[in-house]
Amino acid sequence: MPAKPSGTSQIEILRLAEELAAALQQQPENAVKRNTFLSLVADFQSHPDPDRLRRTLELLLKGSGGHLARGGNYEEQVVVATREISRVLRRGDLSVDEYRSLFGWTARLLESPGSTGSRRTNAPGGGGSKTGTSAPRSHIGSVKPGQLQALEELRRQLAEEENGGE
Amino acid sequence: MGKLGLSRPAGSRPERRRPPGHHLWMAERVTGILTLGLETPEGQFVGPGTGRLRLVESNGEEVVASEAARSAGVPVLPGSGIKGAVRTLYELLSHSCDPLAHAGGGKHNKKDPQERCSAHSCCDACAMFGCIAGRQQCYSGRVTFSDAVPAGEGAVETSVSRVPIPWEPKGHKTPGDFRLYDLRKATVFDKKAQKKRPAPEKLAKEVFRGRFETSMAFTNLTEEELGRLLLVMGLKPTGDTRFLLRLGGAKYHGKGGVRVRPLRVVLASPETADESGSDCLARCDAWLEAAATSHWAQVFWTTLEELADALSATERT
Repeated sequence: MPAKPSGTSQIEILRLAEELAAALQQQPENAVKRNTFLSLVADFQSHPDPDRLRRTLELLLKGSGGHLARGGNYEEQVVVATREISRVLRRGDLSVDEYRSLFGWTARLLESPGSTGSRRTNAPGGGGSKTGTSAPRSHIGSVKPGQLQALEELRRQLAEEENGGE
Repeated sequence: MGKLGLSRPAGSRPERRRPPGHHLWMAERVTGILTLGLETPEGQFVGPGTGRLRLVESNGEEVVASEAARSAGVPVLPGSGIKGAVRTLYELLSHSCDPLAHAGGGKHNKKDPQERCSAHSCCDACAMFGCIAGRQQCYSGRVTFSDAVPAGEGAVETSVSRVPIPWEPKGHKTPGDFRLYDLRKATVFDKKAQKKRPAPEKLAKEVFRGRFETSMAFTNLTEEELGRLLLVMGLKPTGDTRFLLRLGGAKYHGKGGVRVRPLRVVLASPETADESGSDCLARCDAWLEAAATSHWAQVFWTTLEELADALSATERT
């Protein structure tokens, strides 16, 4: 997959991250935990090749390495994560660095194991990208208040920078 | 699989005293750096996991394996893991506290200063390795381990091995205060046959085989303390091995064993010295002797021998 020059704003990356995090946690019983998500995308951070990531997920789903036999709902989490990460990869309009940024932000928005934060369930149904309107903030209800505040502040600063640069 | 439970001698309670400081080298104590070789013997490997999955090539095909630790692409055995493994055995062989008993929020999280170690009052293990006791009361310990790196070009081989899927440990099913594993492979109970059989080796895991080197930096230790550190790393006089130190994952499958050997000692206090080979071994032998003839040995030597027997078992007795 050819690398696309970086051109997507960080606000848009954040919005996509919120969307991806919401999709990964849409079904409470199979919600993808932060560690599971990181275990799948961490190799991409050091080998930023979307085709390699795609291949890894496909092999994993076929049972490669025996990881699906782990206890709990690990297999169900992997199924959800593979579906949603693959959907994001199919966009084709993000550069490698933008994908890395997207995965990094998504990981920060996901619930960690043992977290007891409440999760609001009014996430948007289905997949597909959204344009125009920003994703409802309730998708990241499991984020700690301080983190949410930091994200909002970052969003505000980025918007100011981008508006100021026009 | 040999899951074993060992305990300190009956009646053992944490003995606390003011730990030595770090700001001055004490004349009657030793400060320096000991370089140690960590080698996997035949049949052993170490797999320091990162929790990540990685696409690797194994036997001519691509497989998704649990990633092993690297630093800038170089295989390493994390120093934090070495320190943790050494600390666990040091705690077993000393009058020490349970450092996790006061991890925030638990029912043991008492504020009674008599019930926990602090910067001014440490048990044996906390005085050696450090303790976290609230924002103002930390003690950073007197011994650290660097990440163990390959001993030279081609000293370490990376491959993919298959191990059983790990399971959640059930502490209440293990007798004793410390759960340890010997060298036997993991087993599962076959209810139909009513007997144990080898656990299926399904999980692909990146592992290392070969020779690593780590540096153990120490400040203001007594010779006895140095000797005790060498003992819990499995050393005997003249560089021989009493038992293998266990590092990384797959300990439950009898793996993770490394043979520890002193290679070089550089001392800064109370004398300056730079010794390797037989001189280094002689220095370590003196420390081992100091530990073996101390009051500590009168209390804990039997437990040390139990530990050595337990960790070395390869057959069911």
